[in-house]
Amino acid sequence: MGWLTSLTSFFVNPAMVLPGVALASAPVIIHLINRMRYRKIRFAAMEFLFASQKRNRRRLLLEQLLLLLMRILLVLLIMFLLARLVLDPEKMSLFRGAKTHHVVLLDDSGSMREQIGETSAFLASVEIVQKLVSEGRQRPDSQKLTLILLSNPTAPLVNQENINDELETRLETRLENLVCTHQHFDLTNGLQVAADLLANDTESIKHLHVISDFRRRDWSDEDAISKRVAALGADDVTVNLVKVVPKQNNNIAITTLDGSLRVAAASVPITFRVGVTNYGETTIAKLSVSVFADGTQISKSVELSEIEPGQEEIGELEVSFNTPGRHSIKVSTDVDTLSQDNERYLVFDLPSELPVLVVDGAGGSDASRNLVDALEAGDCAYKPETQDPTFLRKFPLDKFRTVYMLNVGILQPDAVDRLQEYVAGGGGLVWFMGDRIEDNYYVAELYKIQQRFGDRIGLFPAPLGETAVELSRPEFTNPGADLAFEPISIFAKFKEYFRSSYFNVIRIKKYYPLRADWSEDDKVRKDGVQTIARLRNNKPLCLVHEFGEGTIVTFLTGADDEWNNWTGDPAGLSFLATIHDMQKQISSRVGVSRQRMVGEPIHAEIDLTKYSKTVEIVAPGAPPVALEAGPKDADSTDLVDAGSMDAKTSDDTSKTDSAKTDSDSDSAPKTAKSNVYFANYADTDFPGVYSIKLTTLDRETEETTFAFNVPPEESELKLADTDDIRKVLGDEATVQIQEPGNFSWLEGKEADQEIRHFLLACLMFFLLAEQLLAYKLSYHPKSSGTDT
Amino acid sequence: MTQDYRRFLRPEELSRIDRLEIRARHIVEGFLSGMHRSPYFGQSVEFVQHREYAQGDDIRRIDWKVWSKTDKYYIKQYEEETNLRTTLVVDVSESMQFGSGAMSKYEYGCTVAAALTHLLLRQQDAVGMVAFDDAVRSTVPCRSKKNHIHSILQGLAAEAPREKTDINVILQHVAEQQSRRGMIVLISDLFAPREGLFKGLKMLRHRGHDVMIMHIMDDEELDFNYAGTTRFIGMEEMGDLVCNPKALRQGYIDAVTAFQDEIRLHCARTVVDYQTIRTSEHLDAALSQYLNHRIGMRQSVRN
Repeated sequence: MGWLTSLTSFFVNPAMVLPGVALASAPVIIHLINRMRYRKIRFAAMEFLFASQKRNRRRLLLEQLLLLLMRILLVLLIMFLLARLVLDPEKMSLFRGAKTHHVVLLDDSGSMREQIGETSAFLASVEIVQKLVSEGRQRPDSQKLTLILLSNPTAPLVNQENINDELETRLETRLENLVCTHQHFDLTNGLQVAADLLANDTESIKHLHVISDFRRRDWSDEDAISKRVAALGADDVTVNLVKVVPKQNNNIAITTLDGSLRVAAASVPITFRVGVTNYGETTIAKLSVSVFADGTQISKSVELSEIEPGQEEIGELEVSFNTPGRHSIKVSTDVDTLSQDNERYLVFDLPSELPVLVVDGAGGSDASRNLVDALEAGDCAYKPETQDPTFLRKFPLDKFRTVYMLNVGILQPDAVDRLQEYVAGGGGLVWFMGDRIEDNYYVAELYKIQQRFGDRIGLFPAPLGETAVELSRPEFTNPGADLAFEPISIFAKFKEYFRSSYFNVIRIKKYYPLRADWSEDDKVRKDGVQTIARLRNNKPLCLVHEFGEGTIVTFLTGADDEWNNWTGDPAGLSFLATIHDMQKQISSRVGVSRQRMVGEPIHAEIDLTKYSKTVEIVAPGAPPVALEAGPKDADSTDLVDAGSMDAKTSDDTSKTDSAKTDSDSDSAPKTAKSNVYFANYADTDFPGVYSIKLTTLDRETEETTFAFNVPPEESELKLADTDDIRKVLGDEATVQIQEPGNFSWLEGKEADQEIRHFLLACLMFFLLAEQLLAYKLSYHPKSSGTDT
Repeated sequence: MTQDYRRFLRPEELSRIDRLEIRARHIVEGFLSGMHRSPYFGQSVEFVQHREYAQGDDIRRIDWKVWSKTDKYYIKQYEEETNLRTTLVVDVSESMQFGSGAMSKYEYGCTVAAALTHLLLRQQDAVGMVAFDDAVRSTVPCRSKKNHIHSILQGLAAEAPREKTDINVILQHVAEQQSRRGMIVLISDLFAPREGLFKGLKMLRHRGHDVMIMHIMDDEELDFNYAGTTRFIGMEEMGDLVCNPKALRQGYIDAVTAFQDEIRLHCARTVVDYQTIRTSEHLDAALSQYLNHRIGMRQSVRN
């Protein structure tokens, strides 16, 4: 039956070949039957008949043979058309030679959840896979299938299995249970895995079917995709891009949900920012975003007026929570074609108070009192604590949201180390000048830190001048402002305040100049230090720079009357506004959740001296799952996929002494302590709030929560049309692009497209030629008269 | 034989050919006074020539007007008109049995013979008949009696027809029987060796006979309108052939045309009247056309 198998290389319907060949003998048989069945006529003029036969024998033989051949050819041509001949087996999608390897790369990223009529893009993709298997099954064991999900390309769902009835049955159940993820994946990774897999297969004819929605965003990295596709082409792989989304739909997504959480506390109103992006092509006139606090919808909602296409509109809403602890916020809009991005979640810890350390170098000076007054003013939870510099050496600074250094002279090295550790870990630090400032010490010890690969800016941003100087003032009654705020992003509101009349009455009396060799132009210096505010003589007054993960703000003036009138009347209100606004920007991130995307694994470290090994995880809309923590990170739980172990997570909220989830530092040893066990939970595909419950040895439950949101990349539904894809791929001949709803490629229809037209033309030509020849060879009596 | 007569010559056809007359193209020798020119001079109003008197001549024919002017004796000679002796040589061989239409060639040939007999007897000419296949089958001597037609038709009856061999033998036999010049009408399909045919015709003409050939052909023999695979079984033991007639038609027609042309050419050379007659043609129309045409060609040839 080898020859029958080889027929499948050239015919889409090889079953038609044998009957067709049998039919080709019909003209011969008809000829033979005619020779056997004849009528008899007694004839007199045989002499002339013999003469004619003798004369025409060769010509007749040739003509009759030609006619016979032509009729056989006609039957064969019709057979070729019905059996759908394909001259070039490379072009056949399914029915190819000895072995054909179909690798299907199925896109299961979040955008594939888009609704298309009554189905979704993903279900339509699954249906195509089923059809492909169903078609391939008709040629059992001549086709093999590898099914790769873009979410997990290294672990194929089906790995090089022969397509037959058994596979179809088995795959049917698996495909029905397949669920599209909410995550964002890079198409190039999937292509690379498929290319590697196909490169190892040297015996088969290779096809790669990429079934995806082909969003324009996926085709932005032109080089990466075109290189991989070119590599596939060089490896004789036919790439078949199968589109499943027929047209682009409008989509809106909640892309931003954050708030002033650095300074949030119980009973303090928190301003939440809700950003909605319009990914459609029409302007959205009005949109209401519902807000759920701790699972309960509140009466207020975020109203957005007009969102232009491609733009994000931000709305704000103040919500206060009365109790300290873990809280969650959920915002949602009306559901559209892509529902998962119409909700967004945020969880955070609310402390009862926000400790702030004020280190007063002079000890109980006016400056510290002014600052404490400013911090305690208003409806907020700051709890300032004034200490002398020795406090820095004795007590941990972690609990403080911000540390203010007022008029501090020389610090002990261990105090400096602690301060550096505190700021590098995310703490906020603010410098105010005073008469105890030692400029040489600041320059030598605080300005720069010597490192192996060069110096970097330390806790103090610039080299101080020798002494403070008075700000010259030609005319004291001049109503103009003494300082001007620079338009720096994180302190943008400073600029706004500057417009107000409060800032106009600020009078700076003394300030510390910076050394002459220090360039005052941020763009020239490029050391990461930014000037926030300048004096009327254009000298810097306020600087900001990052140190580690923390932020340091430096005022080159003091906080009391001796230096300026900022803290007293009538400018005091502006000082208060500045301090509070600054607090929001530089406060320690403790208690503020990082934005998590779906798919990131939850990593928990458990101190066995305080907790039991069992961890209970409650996913949104799912029953609780119990995990057993293990001593090693990798085999901590049986529910974690191997592929997710590579994922790194960073900081988290619930840092307790004994149990923490998601280590806050990559450098933290994961298998360092024998009494610390690890648990990983990777099934975080659904957006929502996940809850992890630890049980203490005293049988008490401690719960912490995480919010997982969908990536904004998957909300952009703009489609890449065929021209876009062709532009990226160039003139790669081995790439076929199938339009949505077109399944002819599955049936191999496109393969015989070219030859079909040729065969039809041949058929018409030979039909005409046969008729002409037959007419010529046959006798047609003249209509008028007889010839004698 | 009355039945045969009726079969070959129906009254309506007879009525249509009654007005026709058969004239000898050449001078014929008859016993009776008739409508045909005789080689002899005799009583007639048609003056031919003067001849010097010789001893033994009838002195009643001396032209005295010439004697008075020349003082020599000349006699006046006048055209003598005599009757025609016609021999119908009818082919009754196997090949003549072929016929695709209402009549076979044999029947048509007999009808022609009957019609000619009728015409000739009506003109009071004498008619004889020779029927032949591979040899002379029957012979009817020349008579001019009105009821002689029955003898002729009786002689045409063909039983167990055989193939033709050499027409020359037949024609020699006819020539030997016809010692006096007359008309020989050959009614046949001429499917015989051409050399013998031409030789016989030449011999007849040499003897001074007026020769007329009625070439009887069937429509299918001329047109060959057969279709579909056919086995042709040759008459006169010509052999069989299975073929597609459509494919051979043109070659066949070419061969038949060449055959006709050859005979026609030879007849023209030897001053033999030749006419192909289709069996589908109406007898009266065919005879009318032929005999009228023949009268048009009539020449005063004395030899």
